[in-house]
Amino acid sequence: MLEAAKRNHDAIRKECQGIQCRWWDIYSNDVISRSVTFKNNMFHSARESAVQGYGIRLNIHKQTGFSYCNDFNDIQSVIDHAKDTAQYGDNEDYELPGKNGLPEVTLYDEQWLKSWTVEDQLHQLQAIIDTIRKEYSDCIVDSSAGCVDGYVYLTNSSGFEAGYRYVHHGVSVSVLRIVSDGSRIQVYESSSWGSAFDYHEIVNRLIMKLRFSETNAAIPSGNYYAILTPKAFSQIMGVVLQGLSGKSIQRGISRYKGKFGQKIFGKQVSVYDNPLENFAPGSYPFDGEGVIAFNKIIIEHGYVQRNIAHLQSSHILQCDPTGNASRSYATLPQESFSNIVVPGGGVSFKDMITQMGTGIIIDQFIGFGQSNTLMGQFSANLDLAWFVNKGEVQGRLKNCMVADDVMSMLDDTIVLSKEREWIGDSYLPYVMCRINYTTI
Amino acid sequence: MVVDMTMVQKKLKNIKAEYAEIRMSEDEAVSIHLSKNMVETCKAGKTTQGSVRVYNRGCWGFVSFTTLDMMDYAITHAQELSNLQKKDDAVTIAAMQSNVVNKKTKVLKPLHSVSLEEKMELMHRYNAILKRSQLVENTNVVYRDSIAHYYMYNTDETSVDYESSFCGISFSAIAKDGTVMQPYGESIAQYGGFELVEDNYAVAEKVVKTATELVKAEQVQSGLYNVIADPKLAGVFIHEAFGHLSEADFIYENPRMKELMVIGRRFGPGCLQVIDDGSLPYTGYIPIDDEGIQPRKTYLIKDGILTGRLHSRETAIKMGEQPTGNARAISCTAPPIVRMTNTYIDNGNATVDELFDRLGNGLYVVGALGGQTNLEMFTFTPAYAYEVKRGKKKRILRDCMLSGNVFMTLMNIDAIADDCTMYGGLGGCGKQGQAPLPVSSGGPHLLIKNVLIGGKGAGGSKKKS
Repeated sequence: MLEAAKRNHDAIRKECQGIQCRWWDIYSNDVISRSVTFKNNMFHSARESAVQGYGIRLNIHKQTGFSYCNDFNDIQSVIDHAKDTAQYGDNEDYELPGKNGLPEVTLYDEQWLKSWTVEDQLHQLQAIIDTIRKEYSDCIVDSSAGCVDGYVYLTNSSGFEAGYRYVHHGVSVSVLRIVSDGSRIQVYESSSWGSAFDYHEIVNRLIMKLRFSETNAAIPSGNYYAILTPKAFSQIMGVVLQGLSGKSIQRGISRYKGKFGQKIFGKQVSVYDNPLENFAPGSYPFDGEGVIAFNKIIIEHGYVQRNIAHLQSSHILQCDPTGNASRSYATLPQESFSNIVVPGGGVSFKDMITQMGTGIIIDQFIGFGQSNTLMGQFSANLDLAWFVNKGEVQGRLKNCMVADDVMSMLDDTIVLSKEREWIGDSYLPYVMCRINYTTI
Repeated sequence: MVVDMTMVQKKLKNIKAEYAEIRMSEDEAVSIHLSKNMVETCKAGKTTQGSVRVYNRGCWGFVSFTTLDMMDYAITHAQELSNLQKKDDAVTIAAMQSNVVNKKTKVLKPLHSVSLEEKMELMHRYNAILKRSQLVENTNVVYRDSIAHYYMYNTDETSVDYESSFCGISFSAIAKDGTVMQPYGESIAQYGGFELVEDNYAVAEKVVKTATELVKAEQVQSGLYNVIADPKLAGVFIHEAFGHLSEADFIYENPRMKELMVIGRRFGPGCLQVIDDGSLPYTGYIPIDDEGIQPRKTYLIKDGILTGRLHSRETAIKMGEQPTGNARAISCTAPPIVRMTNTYIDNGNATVDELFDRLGNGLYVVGALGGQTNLEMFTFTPAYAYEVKRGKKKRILRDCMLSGNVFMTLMNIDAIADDCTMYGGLGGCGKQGQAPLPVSSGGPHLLIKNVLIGGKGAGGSKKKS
């Protein structure tokens, strides 16, 4: 299919080369997704989705225009729209990257891909449901498994021409129990990877969380020790990383502006943006503008080191682009982190619970990120959390919320676990910290 | 896109299935995004989409595509997928009445008749208003329009040919004062022409005024309050707190949920009426749902009692109830699922002044930044709040989040005013990866007792008065 993409690009390139413009680029996607879904413990549907399209970006008299389409027979009208919109585009006085050597990264396992079948996924999901229902026969399980198989191809007027194939296999499982007092316990886990992975880890985590939730517990409002699971920490990381894009700095809405090189977080906190993790869902050899991908330090031992930047914001901020431009065929490049990697600590999750003694384990929020998080503050309801006393999980905490500030919360006193989990495209440890908790 | 209706109907007839549908659309869209001093986006594009969905003995097969020459493959493959696993005890998706819909959005100023230059000029004028205050650090003006031609055919011999015109804007400003940054925004979107986005200077002015007021405001002190929710927040509340709970795909095969959501159960005070109606001319309007069922006025709660829920064909048949015209897909590349349309709380018989008198001391919570529920607990974030003392609005407060148990909070509705207003915008509802689906929500002012407010100083639950 990369050959087909190349042929399509050749046809578009011929048209673009005839345009009086400063630069152009052509970006195309061709993706097939296949999935099977179980609802309410039973097989419900099978799905296949094919999406293809291309976008053309033209820079005429330093102004950029953009248009997109699915139809490779309609190139001229796409070019015309791109020309029209270029009249109103912003002044973008930078150059596109040229031909470059691409870094090594393995995006998927060819052998595993050959063996992937919809029928196998159906059996795997049935096995997951059976295992969970063997432990909790009253639970309702929704689950899906799928494979996204896609191609990206990028060509530009500076001589860059490259494409890559990416494949992710994903599983998501959601378990619902309604217990005798009528309360709902909904636990979900998911995983996505470019090669085979062990479903049992997902199942084990789900069963552990259902066990923790068998009884309810209640504690008064106050400031407590808390362990954030990697799933909960991924949402906190969203607030930590907000303000670390070139755009937010350029727009004056980054709380990190003027603070690069300063210690903002605890010494244990280091964050890397690494698009070269083999098989990880956020990996790529080059970004949506043809800038080669590389591993970079965002925060090191609590010191904020750098932001990500695409070509436009790096030009405005007079820094180097970081290879973090993300786009689809129908969108302009936007700055986006690739794989977020946070190194772990030396304590196991189990020992962390013992070490905490009394506190809260937080796994799922409701409404996280709805509040104004620009300054690093957040407020969210707890969807799934448990009270720990004397190192033992006592039961689920309900009707409660937490509110805090990520900068004061992730200070020098935090503890990171040695275990880490992939949550989407983030590789994160469990984190023990202090948090403000309110109950109704 | 030229669709040969006879050819598509012939292909449908050849499908071996209990039920099948073919949907196709062609969409031309313009999108503009201005930030304070930059044109972030100015783009125009065209997309073609289609899908085939087939039901056979309890299983759905769904294949979607973006080039129409894949249709024959999609028809064959969707049938194969629907036969992956057969269930002996599966219910049949019965044939329904056929509908023929041929509709076009009524517009005063067609989107095609307005040049890109005019669209840009208007957005620059709005942006200039947002930039007026020195306190405003960043602005966003987003404009989006689309003209879509949608076709749907199913095995009931329903055929739909719908040409829609959708247009909307959103304004936001981030004000900064020292280290405090405060965003505020408004959005307007509707089916119609360019007239919908013209003359909204007052909205832009309100955005900049509110953001600059809020940045100097104090944070709400967290705790339990009696609150009055304005119509916009009342709408978000009912959408999040009860609308999602009424979507039958959460209930239909779950015995415990069926017990909890049993028709006839009391969920609120006698003055509470909750309705979903996709036929109303707001952002959630649909001429017909994506399974070919006409939308209707569905009472979810009548006089405080659960009286109905939102259905697709599948959930309705499995629960022995009637479809309600709520099977909606975000686009032709996604399968229809049970979704809300225009969801609202109907008018009560109190006046807004009476609500304030009754509140005495508490909070008046205004606007909505968003909301989420897990069908038991909810959170939603008002844009801002006012302190209320002895029934009078006092100082403005920022950073407020409402949280609580759905069932307890519905029962805690103490009074309902008579000023129902509907709201929709460029954003929308999200479910199972399909977002943002155009919906509207609204209601009158509501007085709700004992609501947990998150904000400054969380860590205490003392009731505030």
